[in-house]
Amino acid sequence: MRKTASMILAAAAGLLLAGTAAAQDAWPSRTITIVGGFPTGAGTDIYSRMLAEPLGKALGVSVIIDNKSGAGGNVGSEFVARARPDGYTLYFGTAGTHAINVSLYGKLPFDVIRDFTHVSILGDVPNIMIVNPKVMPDVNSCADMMKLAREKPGQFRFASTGNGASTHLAGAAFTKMSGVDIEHIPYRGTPPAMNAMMSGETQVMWHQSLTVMGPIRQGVFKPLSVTTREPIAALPDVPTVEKACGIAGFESTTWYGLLAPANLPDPILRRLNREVVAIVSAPEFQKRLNDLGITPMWSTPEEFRRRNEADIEAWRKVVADVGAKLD
Amino acid sequence: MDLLSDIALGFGVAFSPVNLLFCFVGALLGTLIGVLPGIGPLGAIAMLLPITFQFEPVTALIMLAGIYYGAQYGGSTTSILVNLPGETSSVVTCLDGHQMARNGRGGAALAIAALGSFFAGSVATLLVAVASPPLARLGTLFQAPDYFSLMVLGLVGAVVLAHGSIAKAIGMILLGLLLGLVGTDLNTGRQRYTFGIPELSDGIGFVTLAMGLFGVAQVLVNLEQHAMPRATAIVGSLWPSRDELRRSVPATMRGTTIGSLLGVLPGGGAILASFAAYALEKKVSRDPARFGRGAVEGVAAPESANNAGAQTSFIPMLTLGIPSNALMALLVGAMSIFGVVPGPRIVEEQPQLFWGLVASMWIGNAMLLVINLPLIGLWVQLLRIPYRLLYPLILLLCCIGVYALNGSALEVGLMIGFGLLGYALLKLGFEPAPMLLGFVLGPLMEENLRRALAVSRGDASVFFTRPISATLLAISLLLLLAVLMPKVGRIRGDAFRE
Repeated sequence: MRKTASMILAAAAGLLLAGTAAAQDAWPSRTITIVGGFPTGAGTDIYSRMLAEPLGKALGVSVIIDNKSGAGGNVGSEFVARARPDGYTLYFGTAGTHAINVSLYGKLPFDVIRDFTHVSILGDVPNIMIVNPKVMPDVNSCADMMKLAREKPGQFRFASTGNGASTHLAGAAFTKMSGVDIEHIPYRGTPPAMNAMMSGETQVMWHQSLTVMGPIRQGVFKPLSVTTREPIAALPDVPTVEKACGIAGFESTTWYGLLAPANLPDPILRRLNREVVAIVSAPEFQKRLNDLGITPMWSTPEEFRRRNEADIEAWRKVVADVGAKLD
Repeated sequence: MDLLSDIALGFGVAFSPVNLLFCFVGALLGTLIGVLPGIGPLGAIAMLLPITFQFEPVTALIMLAGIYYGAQYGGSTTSILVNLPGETSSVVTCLDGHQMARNGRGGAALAIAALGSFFAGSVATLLVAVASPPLARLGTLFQAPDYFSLMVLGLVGAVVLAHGSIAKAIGMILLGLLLGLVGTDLNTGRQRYTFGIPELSDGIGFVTLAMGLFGVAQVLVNLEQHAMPRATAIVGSLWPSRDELRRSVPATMRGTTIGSLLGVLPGGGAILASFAAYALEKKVSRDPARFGRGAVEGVAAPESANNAGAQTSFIPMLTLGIPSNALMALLVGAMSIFGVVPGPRIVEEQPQLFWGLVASMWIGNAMLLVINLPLIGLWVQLLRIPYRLLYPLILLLCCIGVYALNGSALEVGLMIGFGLLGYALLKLGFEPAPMLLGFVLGPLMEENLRRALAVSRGDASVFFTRPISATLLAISLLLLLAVLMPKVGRIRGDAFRE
């Protein structure tokens, strides 16, 4: 309901402004680059390429993806923060690059709010708490897992895709808030972490929905809970952490969003927002995102910026609580 | 026979005109991508993914898979012709492949690489068809201590890679290990040797290092010669001689076996395949001195191994839904978008897709052979280009390839730096191959050592009590003794003489 309302609002705003925009500016007249902060094949890369094709069609120019990965996305963020706000350089940001890294890295050479223009939020990536039924045959719910972990403290381990990754922070927040003793073992990315879940080296994991949907549907992993406030469309029967594990208010998701350098001219911003909202809200596109386990989202630039500002504070607390730090 | 009817179903799907066409397109694109250094199959597949949304899922997967294994064929071309390894698996092909080209046997080396890859691809495809479940289980048996021991074995194997002095080889491995430490520490998030440069926080790129040490250094060495020689000579037939074929057959078989097994292991396994195959050939050869001077086995074995590994790395993805590398992770994502769910039930739920993909792999390998064999004549013609025209082209390819990875100019500078280092090393008689292996294996070894100890709560006996780990360590020890024993005798002999 809320999404539909904001979509209509955004579309109406866009219509009002479309005339003035066309009169003032020839934008876009050449190739637009969406910079990504993570390597090719990452979730951000998959989504940005899904977005690039229809966006290019709507704007009548080609839209290409340029991944500048490194330092948890900071390399790409810094590049865009210093780029010209001409509407030809955009950034595929995440809650990681724009909310978590601020606390995780201590000091960044750019300001994630002031050096950027927020265009629209694009989607939310939940983490799904999984166990391997072959390794943990008696665990059928989050409560079972917590009971086992309380009976044998320090005997169980959770895998993450790296220090400070959402898989780490979700797991660390979970163990902190529930008080159960499950040890963190970091892996370098998804493939080795999922293999550790197969071999039983680790027993539980809070994996991002993207690559874990397949194994869940095939019964390779059992989903115990999702880290969102509401159940997700892709797994409607899997309860939230709050409900399944009894941890009130637990939420640990990372959003994706489209950004541009600071001071993007308003007509360009409005046009971009209108096109992006139209693409993401199309039912076919939403279905694709849902199949990947991404919750489709869209917003006005202002809503997106407020959400980002609020999340910086929320993650600051989580990062401090779990004691994660990178320099 | 169930299997026969399944395979017939697969060929029925794969032989439809549309699927045949896209299998060809994928294989051809893959070959081109493999030939161009830097632009790997991962980038190509990511770029083409959105276009394939309009295809049938099986057609899209057939094409994307074709790009992946097609790139394994193409990768050998620049390694052999101009000593330019585009990815990990083609580094060892440079060692003897490029020497063969310098001896005028470039055409034969390319043909052996293509034929070996075809054989390996066919065998591995059959394995995917008949032995997926047991092979997938093999991958899930490996835990951190086992990976650590596998890396130890790999490093001991790196000593075998060297042709000359063992001390120099060990020195190079250690230098490789040190370079591998650069970046963010996985366990603590600390920066190591990054000097505050954000581009270094994920470590030095493999392609950056390999292209510098091999490609750029080779250009520098060649420039030094006043006569400006052709890159390589061309003598005799383009095709392998009977003797070359005779030597290649057993090497191809061994390479295929090693590649098929290691391809199933996620992470470090596949990286090791071509190195391990090369090291094994050198160990079993009656005349190891030929290696590094253009031994045809040194091309046949690693090329078969990397192609076999490329096919079998589909096994954990298809049967468990567990990706064994970043590229497979991307394919899992692609399959989810198509509404296809890889996992244990895929064979029953989607027989058309599973068997169609398997059959297309075999057809694709056959197509690759047909694409690649006639191209050999064309590639070899490239060598007739005068070197003064060829070397700027090689340097340009190196720069584009490295820049294309992360869009970072700093990495191009790093590559040139490594080129200078490689030049100095060549002048001083140090070989870069053991260094690259140390660079790749070092971080994996450290990671798994610390992980194994974290899981065992500091108890180091896990390395000896886990059967896989213990076996691998025992083999490493035997190999080390076999390498060191005669040398130790010789050094002692030398000492006595003085």
